[in-house]
Formats: sequence, structure tokens, C-alpha cells
Amino acid sequence: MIELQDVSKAYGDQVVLDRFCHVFATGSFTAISGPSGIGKTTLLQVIAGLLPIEKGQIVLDGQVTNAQDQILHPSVRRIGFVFQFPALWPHMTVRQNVLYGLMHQPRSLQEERLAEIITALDIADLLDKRPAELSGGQARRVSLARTLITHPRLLLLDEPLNNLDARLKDQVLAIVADYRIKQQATVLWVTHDPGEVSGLASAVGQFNPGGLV
Amino acid sequence: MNRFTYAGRARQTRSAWPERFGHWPFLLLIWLPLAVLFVRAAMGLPELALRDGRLFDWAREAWLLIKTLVYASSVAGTVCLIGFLTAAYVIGPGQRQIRSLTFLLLISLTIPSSVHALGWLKWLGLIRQLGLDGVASRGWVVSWLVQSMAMLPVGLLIIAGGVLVQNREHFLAARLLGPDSRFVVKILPGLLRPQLLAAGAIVWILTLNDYAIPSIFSVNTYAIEIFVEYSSSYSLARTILKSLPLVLLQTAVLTIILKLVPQVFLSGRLQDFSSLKVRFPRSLGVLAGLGSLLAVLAAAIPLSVIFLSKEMWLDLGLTFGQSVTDYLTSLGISALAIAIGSPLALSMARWIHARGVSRKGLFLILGPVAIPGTLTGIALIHLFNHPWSNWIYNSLLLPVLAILGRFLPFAVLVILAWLQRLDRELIWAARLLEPDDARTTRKILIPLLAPGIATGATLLFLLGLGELGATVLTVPPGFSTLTIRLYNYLHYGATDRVLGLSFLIILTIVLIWVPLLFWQRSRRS
Amino acid sequence: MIVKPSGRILLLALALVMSLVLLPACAPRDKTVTVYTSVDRNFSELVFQDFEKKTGIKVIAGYDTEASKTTGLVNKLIEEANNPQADVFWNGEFSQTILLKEKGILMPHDSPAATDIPAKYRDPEGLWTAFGGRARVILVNTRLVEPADYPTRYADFLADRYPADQIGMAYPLFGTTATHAAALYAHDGADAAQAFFQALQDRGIRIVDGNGVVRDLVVDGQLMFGITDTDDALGAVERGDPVAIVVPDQGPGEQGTLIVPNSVALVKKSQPNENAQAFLDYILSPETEKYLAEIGWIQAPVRDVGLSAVGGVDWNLVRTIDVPLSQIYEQLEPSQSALKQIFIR
Repeated sequence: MIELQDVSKAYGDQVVLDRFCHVFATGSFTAISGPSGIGKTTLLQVIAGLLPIEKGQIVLDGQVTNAQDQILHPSVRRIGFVFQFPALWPHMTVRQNVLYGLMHQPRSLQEERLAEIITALDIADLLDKRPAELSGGQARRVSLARTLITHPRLLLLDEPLNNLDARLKDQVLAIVADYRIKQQATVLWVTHDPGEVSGLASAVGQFNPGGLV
Repeated sequence: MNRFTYAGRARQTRSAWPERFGHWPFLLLIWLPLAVLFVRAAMGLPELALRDGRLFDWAREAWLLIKTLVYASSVAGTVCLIGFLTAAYVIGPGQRQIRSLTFLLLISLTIPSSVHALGWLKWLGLIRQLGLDGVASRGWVVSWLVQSMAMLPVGLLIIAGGVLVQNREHFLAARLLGPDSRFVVKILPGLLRPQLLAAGAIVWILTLNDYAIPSIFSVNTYAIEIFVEYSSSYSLARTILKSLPLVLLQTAVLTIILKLVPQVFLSGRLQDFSSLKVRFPRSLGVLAGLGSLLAVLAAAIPLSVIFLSKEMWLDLGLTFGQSVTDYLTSLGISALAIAIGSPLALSMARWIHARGVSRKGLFLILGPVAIPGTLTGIALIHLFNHPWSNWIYNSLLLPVLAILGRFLPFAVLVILAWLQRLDRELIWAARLLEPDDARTTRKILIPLLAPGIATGATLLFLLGLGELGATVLTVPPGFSTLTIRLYNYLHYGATDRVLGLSFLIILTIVLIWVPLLFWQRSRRS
Repeated sequence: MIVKPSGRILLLALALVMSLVLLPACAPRDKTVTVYTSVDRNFSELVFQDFEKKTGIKVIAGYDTEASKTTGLVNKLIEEANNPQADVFWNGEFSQTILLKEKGILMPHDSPAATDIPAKYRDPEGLWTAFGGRARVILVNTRLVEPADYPTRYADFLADRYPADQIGMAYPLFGTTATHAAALYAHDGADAAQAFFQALQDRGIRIVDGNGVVRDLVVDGQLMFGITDTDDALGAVERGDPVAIVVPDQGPGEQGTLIVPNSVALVKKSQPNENAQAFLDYILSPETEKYLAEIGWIQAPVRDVGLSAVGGVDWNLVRTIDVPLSQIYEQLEPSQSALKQIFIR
């Protein structure tokens, strides 16, 4: 469960989150919609611990992860984040990108998870390539693989279907849906078009600085 | 010709003029003098006097060359390491400080290496007076230390600049998957690889060509061998032959490693890492802080020599008064170098870009960089010292050509980097709507490339201001530049005047930089 | 082509700058003389101003820098041989002037002002004339060395009582240090001179970039003493730095020190230039030699110019290395070649 209690965040004079309150139930799939620039990405980034908050607190499964002047490191929250752009590290191969989050895990676990993810995302042929050699769709799938291989309990997706063709959109939706079911993960999905996830989302919320409507 | 006939449509697909012929001004201006120089040198080969039956003392010179290469490599490696640690500090707790540090480093770039050495000599002398006699006053180690500190501003500006324009998502993605220290150790070096290689290569080349600092610490380098040849044989052929190993090595390094250079000058808004509350383990934080401290020292020590000199302040008025003409001459030469060089750099960059960046293209741009300034000056003398060209030879245009000959390649590289990064669609969209290529260049391309063109112009200005080897040969009688006067004072021992002129150069940079900064900020707001 | 107002201003600015840049080439040259000089600008500018005041002829000066050890100008003169720009070459020493004579760059002028200059300072063919110069001296840091311990000979550089890393000299491969080395080769013979310099290198004394650096290190206390030129040394003395000058090798039977005279010559052109000849006559006059001594450029006049002492030394009493300038010049190349083997390793 994710609980946001009076969370406030501003960029200078521009208030983005103003005593934002909401509870996302464990295993829920919430679509968050709203116009561009309103703060939807910021919401995801504070939940992930990528940005600090000025006031309030965020609680993940009973643990306070964000509070004023206190922030739990993103990497220990078991959160997966799919950015608007793939954000693959250009000097690493696909294999190295995907396995980065499991670097200090036993080799056997790495191999097992890798095998699982390359089948699910159909990226077996891409493992030795570098990001510059991938098409847009391939890069998106590799980015997803890197996110999902660590089995995050919370999946945050920031407009993940942007610039994808219909076939790829269906692929990504299917992967996320499958993952959510298998891992009982909570999903927060930011989108301009709630209709794209209408079959999957258990809740749709319109973003407001004070909460979801 | 009607563009909308069949023949017109065929013409529509033809590239713009710079993309077809943009290399010719560059070749004529930069390569033609060098070609004339090499032809004249080749003509002098038959008369080459062999000393003791040998042109080269192979064993001694080869050993000297090897030692010089090791020395330059160690300096380059040190600069890259400190640069990387400072970059880590930028990501971590230090981003607010890095802007002031960048300003400090930019200023210290303009200070002559002799003043750097003077500053370090003074501070090392002070340390010895405190009883730490173990601090050496000569030898490879102290020379390596001072050379690294003198070169640090160059390397650091490239590396730190690279950090600030990295894609933020690369860092955020890593933060979700591991501790921040792992990002610094595993990801950041790869992301910064172009900047580290470029910084290392440039520092390596500058160190190879410098004998001023090593000789102060009684260290011999191959550069002094070349200089001795030049000053004793008065033979162009011998001097060029002696320079060849260094020239070839430098050209090879530049061409091979700097294929990545376009990525060095990445554009982009400066990223704000300060809001991320990055955390390092103590050991990494200490190392990063140490790197930054050394960076501060590299700038602060020569600046301290200047600003803490009472005599400098007392004589400042006199220094200014005596140097006004030289100062204005230097500004005029640099300004004209920018005015002529910027369009040339743009057309050469477009020509290369249209063909893809290849090693051949890079060699065409960078070959002249490896030629020592003195030979560039002699090349221009050979080309323009004729009765029909006296109007150029006896004018200030000649030192302008000298500056372009030495530094235009850097401006080309910068603009090329920006071109590489530009979305083709932006230009295609304009071409679909505007048939006139010149207008598209003026209204679309140049504004999009303006930051790159400005950066190239800045490089031309700064490097031209400090140029000596070619300038002293090409500036016409009756004129002098600020750098020539500064070195005259250096010889005379008028240290206060040297420091005063260094202060004048710093003031000039500040007077240009600050209004530009305000203008940029007002545009953004 | 329609050019906007801002573009017109830019074009106008560019045209203005271009015309200023090209102006020097178009300036009238009838009452001018172009002098290339290696002499420090601080001194030569005073001389040029004095000449201009006395004759009304403007001097257009080309300077060199210590960074190129005069070779920049000399190379420029050689490269310009087919279309010479300079009228006169005024050198702070003499060996490169003799080199220019060998390269056929000079033309003769028999100056009436030089009749009382000793013959050993004049080229037999009239292509160059030497006059007052600087001496090679030892500059001592008075805070580090007591007067009783001052070195008095060049050979003291090998004395064990002085730590080697606190003694300095410039590379004997260019500039006046090279000339001094060549003088020792000519005076003592190649073997003895070579052995001396090898011993210096083996001892590990500090070899630095130039005489100015030697001076700076002595002033700064990094060196106890070093060998340099009188103009460098006197500059430090006049600034009140804690240094003293010792003229070396003045004892009975000792070889004396080297005086490095200035030299001046006309650059060969198709027509002799009257203004250039006027400058030569001026610079070679006893009055100018005295003036150069008074402003501190030279310390050792080659004739009596009515000064009893310069820089605190009566140069009439100073013993100098007695070797003809041409012999010193002949030893320059072989000594440089040999010394390179010793000092650049």
C-alpha cells in the first residue's frame, strides 16, 4: 500500500503538489491522467524517492520512505520506474543494462531472472547489442526488462506508450498486466489517455495538486 | 530555373553550397601555408648538413621521446582522474560550488604557464620553509605535479561540462537499481568516456609541446630538443624532421581518440542535480572532495600570485598605460579572427557533416593542430612574403591568419558537434518551406547552432589571446600583442608587470562573461 | 540583397576593423626605418624614442621574446631574405649577426661613428659592428651566502662546499649561455670545456630555461647563486632584491669573464636606405653607448664613453676572456652539438 499524507512539493514559486493525499491499495492499477506539465511525473518521482518533498510524508507498506528532510534511498524501495524515454546507458550492452540492478546478486539468480525476462519481452537477440543499435520499440522493451527483472513491488510508468505503434502498445500493456498479476505488484500509470488502460486499470484518477479526483 | 519542373525537382535534391564546397576556404587558409612549408622544407633536404655523419642521435633522442611520452601520459592521466573525482563531486554535494569553480577555472586558463609555475614554486618554497624539506624543488615528480595543476583547468572544464549536460534519466534509472556510489563507479565513467578521452588527449598534446614548466624543474623533454634544433641549425628541413615524431604521434592520437569528440561538446540545459540529495559513502565522498580541492588549488594558486602581489597593484596604472596599444591590438586581432573564422568553421563543419564524420575528415580538421606555432608562423611568411602580397604581410591580417591556422580546427569541432546533435527534421522542415538555402542558413541553421558558434568563437578568442609562437613571427613591425609584451616583461623580470597583464586579461574575460551571463538569464526569464 | 539595419551595422563594423587591420601596410614609409631587435623592449623603446626626437625619423620596431631566445627574429630575417622587410638588425649579442652575414642577409656600411670602436669588434668586410655589451656574472642571494663565502670563479660551481641543487645556470644551448660556452671552448679547448660542463651535469646543478629564470630563482632563495647576464642581475639589484653581483674569474692568472657585445647591421636590400644608415650612425655613436649604459642595458662599453663605473663596476678594470668574436662564433655549433649530448638526455 502507498499512502501519501499531506505531501507538498514546489519548484520555486510553482506549487506542484499541495498537501496531496491519497492511498493506493496494494495490487491496484491506477491510471493518473491530466494535462501536460501539471505534476503527474513529479508525483511519480517523489514516490520513487527521486525527488525530496517539502512537507508531509509517504508511507510504503508501512515504512515511511519520504518525510521532510528525510528520504529513503530509491534503490532500497523495490520500485520500478519506466521513464518516458528508455534511458538506456549508451556505453553498456543490453545484457549489462538489464542486469545492472542484480549486479550483487548470485550468478544463478541473475541467469534465472534473465532467462525469464528475455522470453517475456522477446529480447534474446538483442543482448549483445548497444542501445544505439536498437530501434525505438526494442529500446522500450529493454528498458522494461531492466525495470522488471528486479521484481519491484511497485511499478511506476510515466506515459510508457508514447511514440509506440499499436502492436507495441499492446505488447507493453500485456507485459505490465502479466507482471502485475504474477508479482501482485501495485501499478501507477501516468497517461494523457485513460482509455489506453481502461481494460486494466482498477481506478482512474484525474490529477490535482491536492489529490486524485 | 523553375524548381517545380522536372529539372527543378532534380536540382532540389542538391546539397547547399557549403555542403559541396565548404571545405575549400578551410583548405586554402589552413592547409595551403603548411603545404608550401613542407615543399620548401623538402627542397632544403639535399642541403641537409649531417652532424657527425648522422642526422639523428637515435638512441638519445628515442629515449628522450619515450620519457616525454610517459611524462605527458602521466600528466594526462592525473588530470583525468582528478577531473573524474571532481565530476563525482558535482553529482554529489558540490553542484552549487561547481559553477563558481568553472568560472575560476576559465579565468585561470588565460594565465601563462610560467605564472602557474611561479605560483607553485612560491608555495612549495613556503612549505619547505615550514621545515618540510622533503618537498623536492626539481625533478620529474615536482614537474609532474606542477604540470598537472597547470593543465587541470583545461581538462576539468571539459569533464565537468560533460557531467552537467548528461541525460538526467540515466542517473535516475541507476538510482532506482543501486546505491549512488555504484553509479559513480560503474556508470559515470562510461557516460563521461568522450569527455575523459578528449580531455586526456588535449592535455597530453599540450604537455608534449611544453618545455617551459619542465625546464624550470630541470626536466628535459623532447620539446626542448626540437627547440634547440630550431635555434641552432636555422634549417627548416632539420627542424621539421626533428618535429616529425611528435607531430605524427599527436595527429594519430587526435584522429583515433577524438572520433568521439562530437559527443564531447554536447549541448543541453545544465542539469540540476542538487535537488536529488545524492549520498556517497564516506570514502567516495572524501576522494571526490579531494579532487575538487585540487581543482580549486589549480585555479587559486596562480590567482593568488596575481592578486596578492602588492607591487602588481601599485604598478597597475603604469602597466595599463604602457600596454594600451598592445591590448587593443590583441583585441582587434582576436575579434577579426572570430569574424573571419566563424563562417569558415561553419562551412567546414557542414561539409564534414554532410559526408559523415570519418577519420579522414577528422585528420583534415585536426592535422594542423599538431604543427608547432613557430612552424605555422614560418609557413605564413613563406606564403605571403612577396612584393605582390605585402599589403597582407605587413598588416595585422597575418597574425589573424596565424590564429586561424592554429585554432580554427577547434571551432570546427565544436560546431560539428552541435550539427551532429541537431535533429535533421528541423532543417528539413525549413527546406520544405523555403527554397533559398542561404535564407534557411541565416534564419534557421545559424540560430539553432548559435550556442555552438558562440563556443567556437570563444575558443578562438581565448586561445588567440594567449598565442605566442606564431604571433611573434607574424605581427608586423610597429605592433605587438599583449602576450608578446607579457613574455618580454617575464624575461626582464618585471614580475609585477607580468601579473598586471595577467590581471588585465582576466578582467577582459570577466567584462565579456558577466554581461553575457546577464543577457542569457534575461532571455531565459 | 536587402540587408537589415543590424546587418548593416555589422558590415560597417567589419569594414572598419578590416581597414584598421590593413592600415599598417598602407602607411607611408618615407620618414621611417624598420628595426628588428632582440634587445629588451624596456630599453630599446627608450633608444628609439631618443632617435626619433633627434632625427625626426620614426622607428618601426619588430621585437622578439625571450621565449624564442632571439631565434624567432633571426629565422624571420632568413625567411624574408627574398623580400626583406627590416632595414636594420640590432642584436643584443653577436653570434647570430655573424650567422646572418654568412647567410648573405646583410649589406656593408662604414659608419663614421664607429671609427673609435676597436677592430676586434668590427667585421673586416663592414657587414656588422659590435659595441657595448653585457657581461656574464654570478648573482648571489645575500641571505643564503655570507660575503666571505661568495663564489669568485666559474669553476666554483664544482666546489663541494656549495650544494649542487642550489646552484643554477641556463641551458648552454641557446642565448648568451651558449655564447659563453662557445667562448670557453675557444679559450680552453674543446676537451677541457667539455669536461667542465660534463662535471657540472654530473654534479647535478640546476639547469633552467633562461638567464631570467636563474635570476628569479636566486632572488626567490631557491638558489644560492647562478650565472646570468648583467642586465638581468642589475635589474634585481635595482629592485632592492637581496642579491649581489660577482664578476667571476678576476684573480691573478684567471681567464676573466665574457663580455657579450651588442651588434648592429644593415639588412640587404636593393637600395641602401638613408634612414637605416642614419640609425646605424646613431646607435654606434659614443653618446648612444653612454646612454645605453645609463639606462642599464649595457654595462661594459667597448670604448671610453666618459663613465667611470657602470652598475657599481669599473669595467675598464675588468678582465675579459680574450678570444676574437669570430672564433667564438666558430665554436658555437660544435659546442652546442656536444653539449646537447650532455644536457638533453
